[in-house]
Amino acid sequence: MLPAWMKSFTHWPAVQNAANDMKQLYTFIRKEFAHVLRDRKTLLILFGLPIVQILIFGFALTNEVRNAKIVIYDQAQDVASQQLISKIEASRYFDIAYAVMDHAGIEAAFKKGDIRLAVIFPQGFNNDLLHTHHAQIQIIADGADPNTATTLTSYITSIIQDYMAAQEPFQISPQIRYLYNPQLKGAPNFVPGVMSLVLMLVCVMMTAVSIVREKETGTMEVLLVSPFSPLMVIISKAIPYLLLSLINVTTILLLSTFVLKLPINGSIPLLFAESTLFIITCLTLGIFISVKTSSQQVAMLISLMGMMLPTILFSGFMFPVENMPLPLQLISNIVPSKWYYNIVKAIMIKGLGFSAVWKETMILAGITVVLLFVSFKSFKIRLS
Amino acid sequence: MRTIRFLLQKEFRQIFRNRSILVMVLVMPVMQLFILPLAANYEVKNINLAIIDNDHSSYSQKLISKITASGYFRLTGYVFSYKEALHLIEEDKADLLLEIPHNFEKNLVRENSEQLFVAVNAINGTKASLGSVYLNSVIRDENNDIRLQLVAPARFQSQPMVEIASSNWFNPHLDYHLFMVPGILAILVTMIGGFLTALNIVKEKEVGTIEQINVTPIKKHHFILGKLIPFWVLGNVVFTLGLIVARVAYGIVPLGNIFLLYGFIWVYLLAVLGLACWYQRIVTRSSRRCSLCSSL
Repeated sequence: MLPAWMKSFTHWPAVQNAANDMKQLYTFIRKEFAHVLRDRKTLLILFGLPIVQILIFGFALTNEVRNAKIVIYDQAQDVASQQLISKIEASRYFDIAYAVMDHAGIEAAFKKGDIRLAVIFPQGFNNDLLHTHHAQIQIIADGADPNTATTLTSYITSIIQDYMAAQEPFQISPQIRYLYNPQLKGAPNFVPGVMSLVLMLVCVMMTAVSIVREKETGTMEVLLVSPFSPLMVIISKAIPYLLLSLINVTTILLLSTFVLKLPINGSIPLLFAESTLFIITCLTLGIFISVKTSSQQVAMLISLMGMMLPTILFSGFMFPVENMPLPLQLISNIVPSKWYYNIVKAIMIKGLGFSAVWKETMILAGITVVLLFVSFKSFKIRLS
Repeated sequence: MRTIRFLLQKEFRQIFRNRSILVMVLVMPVMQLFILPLAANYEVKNINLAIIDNDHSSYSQKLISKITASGYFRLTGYVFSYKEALHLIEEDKADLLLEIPHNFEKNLVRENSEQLFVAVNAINGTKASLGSVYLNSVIRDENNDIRLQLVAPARFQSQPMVEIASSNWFNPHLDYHLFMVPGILAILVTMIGGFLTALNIVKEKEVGTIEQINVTPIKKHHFILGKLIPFWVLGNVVFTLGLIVARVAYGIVPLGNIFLLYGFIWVYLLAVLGLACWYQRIVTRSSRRCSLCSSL
């Protein structure tokens, strides 16, 4: 119970109004929750999407090169070539599919499609090596996938050089350390990416569509003529999605920790606080779209084409932003998911604190405020 | 047959009347094929490099200028301690750091060997491994130069050497567009085929006209064929447009038999459209349908 001196305040009209508003807001939030929870199939997609994406990205999509199939054309068939071949076969990067017997065989193998690389030993390989101290090996890579070709060529080069292991004079040997991700796994890169993608999808599209649906079916009119303030209508729309998205964040983090074995290196409360900020940004974006459009189809297309594609393209988790032409690089700066992706990477993978991400946080907050202001300005409380 | 003909007439009319579909079919392929290969470029260049040069010798300077001249690296930090360089990596200002040890030149000449330390931000595995491969090959190159300076090349090599000659087939210049453009074409055809058909049928449900069709003597297969054929044609139009753009903008031509390519597209489109038709059975509201389509 309230103390006696405060009880006197509750009789003031302003306080009573506020209490009334809170009660109304609570009722409306309950109504929105009922809307969301009633729609089982959408709910299934909402919670299924992050799980499916994490599992797909985790197990199907890896950039790691492992067990690449290669063919060998060994014209020499001598001691040195056999030793080298068994050395290549022993490495976990390469699988020798079969041996070919002529040059036409190499081309046929490439055309069949599953061969990535061909290694050719010339005739008299061992002889050359022993007598002239100089022998050649030819490597042919399938350039249709340029990055894999480069990586495989360099792997096989280092295996062959390793075999020679002849200590040449004046050797500079670089010692390479892979920070944050010593095994070069895919997960540290895509878990932050999937987080920004899923939050973007859920928050922007669902909010936009649910508000526009209210416009389309005409119930918005009912809400507008009621004594309930329009601002509260919007807030009560956003809150269920905020909670659902936080559940999604938790699911993704749990999955990545326990299934993909990717620990959270930084502070978990900070990560959740930043996620909440990003979710709010997305929600305001959804509200902005809903204010500007009047049909569900259009709202959906805009949030899909206008939000999903930029998120995939410009957040930097699929494609390196620094390679793009300058205009596209500039555009990437207004995509909120880019900043969130950087924040999650810094906190979760690098284990940094707030001092490392304050700039990104400020930008996200700035985008949110601008969007809120613009959509508040153009929110029509009258019917056209 | 007559029924299908009338249905087809109706569908085509609806398609040509609807501007947004036409825009999607005509503009999207062109836009995507122009913008995506520019933006979606996996090629690793412009690697940001921070260098800690503890030696300041002529060799270390030469190594640095060789690395920056290679075109793959951008020198973004020239710092004095590992800590500073690591800070640059934490801030994403550098992807790679190279530490040249104290007395690099002296040790190399006197002790015949010396080590360099390289640390890579490996959150993006592909970028990290390619970056270190590039750096490695530049260092190896420089090493050979130094060796040539220090040792007079013998007429007969005293140690056995294997020379590795590598070449890339099908794409000798490792042009990334050759990889991206066919991929985008496949995505385009899938998107147009799947997306539009599904949206179209669901719209019929939403507007309620599907009930009218249900009460007419139109058979199920008539209806489905009537929906499939127009979008199948549209898919072919998109594909042809894509091929033309690829030819004009990137100079990419199908090397194999073009009719075989079309044969495959025909079959593929049938599969995509079939999938879309199956979808619309399970899903009734377009919001869900979109999220399903996009998640695929």
